[in-house]
Amino acid sequence: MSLDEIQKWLIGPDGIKESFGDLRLWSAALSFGEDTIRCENLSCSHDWRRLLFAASILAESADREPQEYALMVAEAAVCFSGEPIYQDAGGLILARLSNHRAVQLAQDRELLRPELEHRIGKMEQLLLTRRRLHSEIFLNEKKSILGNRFQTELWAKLASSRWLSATAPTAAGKTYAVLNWLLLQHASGNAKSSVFIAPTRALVSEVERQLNQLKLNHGLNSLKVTSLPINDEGFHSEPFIAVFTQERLHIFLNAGKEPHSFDYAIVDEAQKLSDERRGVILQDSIERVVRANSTCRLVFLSPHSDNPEVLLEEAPDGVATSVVPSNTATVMQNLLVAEQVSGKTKEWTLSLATEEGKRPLGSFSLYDRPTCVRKRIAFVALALGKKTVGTLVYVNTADSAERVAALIYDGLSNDVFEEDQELADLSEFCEKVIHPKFQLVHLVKRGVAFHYGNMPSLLREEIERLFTSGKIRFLVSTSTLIEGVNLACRTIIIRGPKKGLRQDMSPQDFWNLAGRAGRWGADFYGNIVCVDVSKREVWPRGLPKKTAYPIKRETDQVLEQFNDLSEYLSKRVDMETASVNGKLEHVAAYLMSWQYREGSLRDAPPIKKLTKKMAGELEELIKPSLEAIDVSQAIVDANPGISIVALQRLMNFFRNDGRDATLFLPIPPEDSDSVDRFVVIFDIINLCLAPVFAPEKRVLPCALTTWDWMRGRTLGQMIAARLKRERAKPKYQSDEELPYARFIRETMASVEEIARFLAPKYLGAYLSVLRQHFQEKGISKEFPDEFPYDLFLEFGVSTRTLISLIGMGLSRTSSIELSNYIVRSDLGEMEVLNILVGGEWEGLDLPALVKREIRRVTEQKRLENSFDLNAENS
Amino acid sequence: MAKATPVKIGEVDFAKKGDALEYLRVMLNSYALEERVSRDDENFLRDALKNHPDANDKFGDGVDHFFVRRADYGTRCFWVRRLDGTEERFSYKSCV
Repeated sequence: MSLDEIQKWLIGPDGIKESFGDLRLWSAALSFGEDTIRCENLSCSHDWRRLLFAASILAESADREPQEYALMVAEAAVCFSGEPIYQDAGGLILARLSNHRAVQLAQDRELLRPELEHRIGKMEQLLLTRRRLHSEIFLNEKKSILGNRFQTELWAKLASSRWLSATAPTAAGKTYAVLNWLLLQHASGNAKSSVFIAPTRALVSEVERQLNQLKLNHGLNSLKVTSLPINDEGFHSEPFIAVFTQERLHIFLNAGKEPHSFDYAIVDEAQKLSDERRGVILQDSIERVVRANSTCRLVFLSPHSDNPEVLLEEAPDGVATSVVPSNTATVMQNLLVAEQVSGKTKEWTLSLATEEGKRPLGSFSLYDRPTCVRKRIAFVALALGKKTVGTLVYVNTADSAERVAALIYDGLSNDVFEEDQELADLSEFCEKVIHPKFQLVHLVKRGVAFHYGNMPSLLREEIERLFTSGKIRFLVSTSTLIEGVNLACRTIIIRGPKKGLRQDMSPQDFWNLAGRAGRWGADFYGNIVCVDVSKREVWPRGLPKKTAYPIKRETDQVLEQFNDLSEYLSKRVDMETASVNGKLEHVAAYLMSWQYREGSLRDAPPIKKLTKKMAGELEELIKPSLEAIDVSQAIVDANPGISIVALQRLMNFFRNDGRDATLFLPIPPEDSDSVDRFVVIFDIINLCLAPVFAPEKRVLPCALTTWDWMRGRTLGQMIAARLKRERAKPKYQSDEELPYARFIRETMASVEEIARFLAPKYLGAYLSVLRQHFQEKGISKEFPDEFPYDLFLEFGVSTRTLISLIGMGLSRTSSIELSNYIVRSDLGEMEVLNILVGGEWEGLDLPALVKREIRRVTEQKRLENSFDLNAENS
Repeated sequence: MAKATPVKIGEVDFAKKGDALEYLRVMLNSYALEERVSRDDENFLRDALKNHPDANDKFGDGVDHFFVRRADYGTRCFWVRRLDGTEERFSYKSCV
């Protein structure tokens, strides 16, 4: 028998699959901690010698399934065998799987005694050394890391290809490897400027922080890592890595006189090219980067994709490409089903879902009767998470997140909690910066929190940090986790998941979410607990089958609906702005701007997949729209997703309107007429560009939010103002009747969606067209170029000092709190750094969390050594 | 019951005052905010504005065009932009 045949036999029906199955059940039950699951019926005697021998054979396989069996046996032996000899053997198998982080974790938890290599035979010592050498990734002459099999392959292929697409779940460590590789390119002088594109601001700040830490290992202390899309003259003299969302990348590219040429571009969460609106913007931003430098090296990262090769289709001819799929399991994942025992609402069973069906694991009890749906999920979380940390509960809406978190908090009322300074600081921050009635103020004191989009970044990051460190034990979250926050957990509890209220969750999204269970290097096990699976109304299609993401660009999807798109294009010129179709408009805009720029659609990447006849038809349909266009090419390029027809309509509006052109300009936010002017501007945007602030009665609230945001109001002030307005309404007789939680949430949402997304995008387009109008009228000097309104809105500030504080790495919240004590509004980064280093802010009445962030940033700057602090201070 | 009084604005006859007001209300709501009034409707509005008690002030030195914009308290209103670039709103209810 060959090795391959033995491996297949071992996990086949004639092998020892049954013994593996028994071990898996037993170890899954124990993974919840002692006395959590009653599992008396499970066999607890295992033939460890036989299982470990089999696992050592399976560990040699390159396929995922045999590797998973090997990992399961090794981790069970290390964690639960209780025999040092078997624990050592488990440790060796983990090393054989190149899972060095798990070995380290076992040593940290004293499950493995240190110096394993001294207790094994000579031959095994040699093999161990060989494996270590094989998986060693050299960052530089002094530092190396031990990679897993996926990371080692990724590293090798990164060296040999110019375009690369890697796909792997969260726990595979792909971002970590790629960030180190990128820094190595900077350290060795191969790269002068690079860009890392991530889909959310949360990921952007996470990656920026990681890069700032990792660069120190590469001796790149003074390398600029920025997420601020400022592109002025002095910027390009030094090397830098920019970390942007696709929108910020466009802002950055728009700000330069010449297209900026990046040497390296990393696209994280590249499956987002399938997104309806932002997918086209992402595609356009990647194409702009490649147009500016066709030799730019590109790396696409995606979680468990079905067709990662599709991302390489647009690589220029002759460029070496490669795909790196992941076959590596780093953490043992169990898919489990929790069901209530019929007629006994407090008694529940837990089963392991396997390919052969459900296998009973044991039972557990809830602490009280779950009299409503939210209690079912909250009480299951409490029962299963009582002995462990890292329990994440998935719910569909932000409202549910708050309510389920409150139930978990209540369920912990009999536990004793010692006061923890970090949790107390977080509570204080919520009280001072958001609102005293914000629920997190008390929830976090018992180690419970909720997490959804639209939260201020400083708060969200602190919750993530404390959850990862184990101080927050229960976290209730919405679909923000699927949208790209790299947050992993030990146990995830899910009941009938949807995205929001109505949208069903795809099996891919489910598995992307489930992939968060099991933190490589922090846990051995990741448990995915699905609640009430036998209820058809909760899980209409049962447990989702494990499927990979099919990546399909939004442009390709829309072009498949060729007839709809053709009809839309034929009507687009005369279409009223209010009739614009969201889905088709973005692709139509993309195609129109391509044809406008190139004169033909021939070379547009999505069009190459169509027949010549179809491409010709589209060109003919677009031609009439382009005949009367005279907005400049730069404006069209700078505003992806906004159609050229709409931009021209705005241009014509300015030209045909008789008023003094300066009356179209925004007014700086400190002027009391500013908000009225925003109302007029938003009405014009609704009329000409897109009905994004429609209907009419929404314009004033949108303008108020935008104005408040831009003039640097804190979230707390905005929430207080909203509550005051609501309290004045006759329908609320008393304070008690005010739905505080809802108004707080809605204010956060309007800041994110209106002030930080729609307003900068459309105001940016509006101003770029208006600037051309000023040029045509010969009054360019009256255009306020010193006010970059789109940047002010993106960051919610309106002074240079605040932008400088944010540019240093402080959150907006901290920057505004601090700026209340800084007099001047025009300070650059060096000047504000001087103030911070002075340390006088320590005596100010700032929330502790804010002070900690300022300390972290000054410390980082100190490490970067980019600034000789002593010299400046002397 | 009082007999309805017919109203004539320009060339258009209305059986009663309410019909003329309804005609103008529908016209006002058919435009988006900040949108310029069409040539046909503009001719009608010129005739209607002649009935306004402050017609002379509203016309000023000549009307360039009419458009729709917000007025107080979230309402919408017809506005006139004069040849000298100045602008002013007027109530259509005062034109009938």
